[in-house]
Amino acid sequence: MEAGKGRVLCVDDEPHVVRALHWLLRKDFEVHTTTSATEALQVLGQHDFDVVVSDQRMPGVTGVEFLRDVRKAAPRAMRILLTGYSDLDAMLRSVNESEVYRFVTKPWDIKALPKLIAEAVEISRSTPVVAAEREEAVPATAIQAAESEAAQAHRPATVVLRDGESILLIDDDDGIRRTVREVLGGGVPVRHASNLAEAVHALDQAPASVVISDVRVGKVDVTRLIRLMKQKHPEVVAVVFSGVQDAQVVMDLINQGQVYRFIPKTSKPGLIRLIVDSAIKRHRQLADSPEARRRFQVEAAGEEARRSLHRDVEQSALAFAGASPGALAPAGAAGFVEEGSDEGQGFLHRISGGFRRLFGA
Amino acid sequence: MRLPALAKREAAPDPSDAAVSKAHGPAGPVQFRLVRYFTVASLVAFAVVAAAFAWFEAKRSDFFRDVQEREGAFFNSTQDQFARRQEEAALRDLLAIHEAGNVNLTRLFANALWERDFAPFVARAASVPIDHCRAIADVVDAKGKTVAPPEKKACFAEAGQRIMALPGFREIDAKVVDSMKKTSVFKIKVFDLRGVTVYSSEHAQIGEDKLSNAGWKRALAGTPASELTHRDRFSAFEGVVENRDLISSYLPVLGPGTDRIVGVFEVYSDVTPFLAQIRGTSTQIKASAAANREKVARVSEENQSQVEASSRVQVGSLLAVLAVLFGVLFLIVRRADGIIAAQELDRDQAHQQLAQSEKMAALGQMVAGVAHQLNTPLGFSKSNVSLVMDQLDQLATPVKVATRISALVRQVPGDKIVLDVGRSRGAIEAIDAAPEDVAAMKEMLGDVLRGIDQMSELVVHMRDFTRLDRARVSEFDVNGGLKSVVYLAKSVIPNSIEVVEAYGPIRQIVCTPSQLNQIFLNLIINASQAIEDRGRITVATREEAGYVRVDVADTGTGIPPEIQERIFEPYFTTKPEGVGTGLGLNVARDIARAHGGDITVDSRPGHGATFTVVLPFEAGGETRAAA
Ligand SMILES: Nc1ncnc2c1ncn2[C@@H]1O[C@H](COP(=O)(O)OP(=O)(O)OP(=O)(O)O)[C@@H](O)[C@H]1O
Ligand SMILES: [Mg+2]
Repeated sequence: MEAGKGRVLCVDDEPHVVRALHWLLRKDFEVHTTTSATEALQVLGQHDFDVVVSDQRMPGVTGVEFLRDVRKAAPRAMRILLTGYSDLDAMLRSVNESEVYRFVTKPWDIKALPKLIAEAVEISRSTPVVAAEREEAVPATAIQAAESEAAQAHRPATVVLRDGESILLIDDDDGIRRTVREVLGGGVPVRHASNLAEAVHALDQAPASVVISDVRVGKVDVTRLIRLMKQKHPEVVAVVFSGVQDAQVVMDLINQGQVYRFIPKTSKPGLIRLIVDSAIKRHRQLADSPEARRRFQVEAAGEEARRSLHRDVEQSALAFAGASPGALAPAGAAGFVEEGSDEGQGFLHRISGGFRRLFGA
Repeated sequence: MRLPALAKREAAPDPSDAAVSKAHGPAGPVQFRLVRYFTVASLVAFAVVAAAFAWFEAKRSDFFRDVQEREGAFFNSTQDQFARRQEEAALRDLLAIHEAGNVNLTRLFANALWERDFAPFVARAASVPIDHCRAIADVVDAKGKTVAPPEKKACFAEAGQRIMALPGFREIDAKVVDSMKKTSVFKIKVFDLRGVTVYSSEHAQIGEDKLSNAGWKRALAGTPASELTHRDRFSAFEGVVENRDLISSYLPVLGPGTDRIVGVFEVYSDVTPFLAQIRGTSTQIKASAAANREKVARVSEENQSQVEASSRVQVGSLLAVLAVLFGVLFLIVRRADGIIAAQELDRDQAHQQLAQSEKMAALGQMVAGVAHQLNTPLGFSKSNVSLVMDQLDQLATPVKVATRISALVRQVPGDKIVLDVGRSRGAIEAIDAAPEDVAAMKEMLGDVLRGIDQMSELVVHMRDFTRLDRARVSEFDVNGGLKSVVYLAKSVIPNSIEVVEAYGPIRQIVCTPSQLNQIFLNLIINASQAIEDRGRITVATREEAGYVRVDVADTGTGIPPEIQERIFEPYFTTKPEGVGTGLGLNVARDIARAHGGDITVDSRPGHGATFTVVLPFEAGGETRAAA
């Protein structure tokens, strides 16, 4: 073992691909390759890998399934999924079951891939394994199991929060809001934001432990907010609760937002409760061990993204204040609206201040 | 019907199939002409029903008339019979009553007059001989009747004279006349047992012979005999009377206290007033019978006409009901026909669109598969080539150094080379300045890399076109979609056609991108097919109040005004069999409208055509065209 060199396992049924990866990575890493998932699991037992790169489409087993096994066998290894073509189901499962670190699409970039792997090696080596990774946080069967009443019986009926912990729900659909409240039980403090401005304001007022959010509220993309928030506050756990059917969106969310779990909107209450519960646990682990946060690091968002989000937040604030200034109070914030002649401007000012505090100038 | 027609584009065309699909055209296959069949069938059926009903009604009215007539006849005959019987009975009763009256009268008479007056007279009259008169033979008169000759009559008359001359005649006559005056008895005659008229209130008849008279004979046998006669003239007690109805009764006279017949009376009594009454009653009955008959006839006539009228009304109302029924059914059937036709058309279109979208889906699946397949070799090829290119730089210096050294070795005759580092450094730097062979290799590999990038681009465009891995409805950059479509369309557009892309700044719209891509592809392919030799297709976008506008303009043949309206119809095509199905624009318009937008065309023949698609920002789409 060459000291200091990261140890990477590449799995693809196509020998040319593993060979190409080998050539690409051999200079910087100790690269092991196999063309079969079964063999890969054996190799995994013999060495302590920092990173596992797997193809999604392989004969007999999918990359997601293989990486799920990897997660159990070698929890320390960071998992990267290589895909030729994205399909939604695989994306969702890779988030919920395999906790994939990144997706890489073929053809890969020969500059970016070694960098990404180096980063993963660095994280893998420098951060402790989060306890939950040792068990199966959301086992493959949990999705089906949570849907059966019997399974719900020995699951927590409600999610229990500690002092100072809170949940923020970002969604403009009242039905979802009600569902989440019902599912989590009356005792759980859930704050609700139905637009970007409210979300920024709520986060500024008090940090959230778990953010449950749709991909968009109205027409505005919320993923930028999640990304920026994760960048500045990695201990916040993001759960996407959405009806979105777009594999690309899910892939972007993983690569840029490090979403902890993805809940399809049609999910049964049991599954939702289960996921929120485990999200809270993850938050505690992250809060307790700052080094561990790096495992869930997001791609650095550019200055441009921050500015465009700021613009949208301001627009949302203006639209909201203009449309119904009186309706701001129920957003959960007393003194939300500045007394005085220009309510809109005051509100905007406040939100902008909050935005700067949260995400920097 | 449609599917085979569509399939023939892919499969080997079956000529008969093609002919069939052409022959039927867009109107559809040979249809069951519901309205026409219904009209003919129901009119025939209704006519038969109406005729049968009318025939039954006529039969019924005939039958009724028959019954009425028979009833009338029966009634009439009953009435006639009744009148006749009544008259007969009255006459019979009259006769019986008068006979009984006369018998009593005769008894009375006999009791009063016989013993004292008639018996001795009759005994005396017996002395007058009549046998000689009877001996005179009868003659046959001109009419063939046996009559007594005048001398016989004269003989009897002479005998009468002698009887009248007998004593007691005057007293008897006086008594008879006396007692019969003012009664209805007009005449009394008395015959002795020989049959000679020994007395008659009409004296001229005394002496007449009654031997052969039937009435006398019966009376002599003990039975009274009466007869109703009419006399124009009759000599009664009080002189001659005229026009009278009389009952003449021959009555046996019994000797007082015995059953012995001692003589015969003939009594004429007048019944003219009774008979007149009877006749009057009879006439009345007859008249009322006639009146009744008339009434019955009238009533039956009325009934008949009523029956006929009602049957006419019934036939009429039946016809009216049938007419209304037909009308209603006709309306229903026509409406049903319309609905069926519309449904047929709908189904047909849905079928077409389904087939179209299935085709697109299958194509998309394939393209996606190909894209994925391509990505793997592209991935490792690109990776390796890039790697080699990077490493070639490092190779350049060693290769040059080695080349230089080998040249030096060849120049030096001895076994030793002394490397003057100071000099060599400059030389090595000189080699570095012109690494031609390595540079050439890098250039070659650069081209390979560009080739790989082009292939990657193609894959990206193919994926962008099918968008199988994306949400069906999503925010979509129309310009990006058009770029992919143009990129892919170029593979089927001849090089002689230039494609100009002039994209304006437009926002993303919420829509069903794969369907919009289908519209764009249809328009661009149409444009290229309209250009005969060289030409230009311009694809432009811009924003207009609330809409994104896409123009696809060509320099082709243009569209004659008379068919501009029809090009959006399903199956309308001017292209030869196997080139166009005529569905492209129809499907495109459906998709555009499902998105809340539309497609319009502007064209002058000879100056090309411009198709304009407008799409609202919040188009959405994904309705019926989605399938
Ligand atoms: N750009 C154009 N220039 C001239 N004529 C056109 C143009 N686009 C369409 N047309 C006319 O409209 C007709 C209908 O077009 P449409 O796309 O519906 O069917 P098609 O092209 O004939 O067949 P398909 O697209 O199903 O293969 C064409 O046959 C052609 O006559
Ligand atoms: Mg066409």
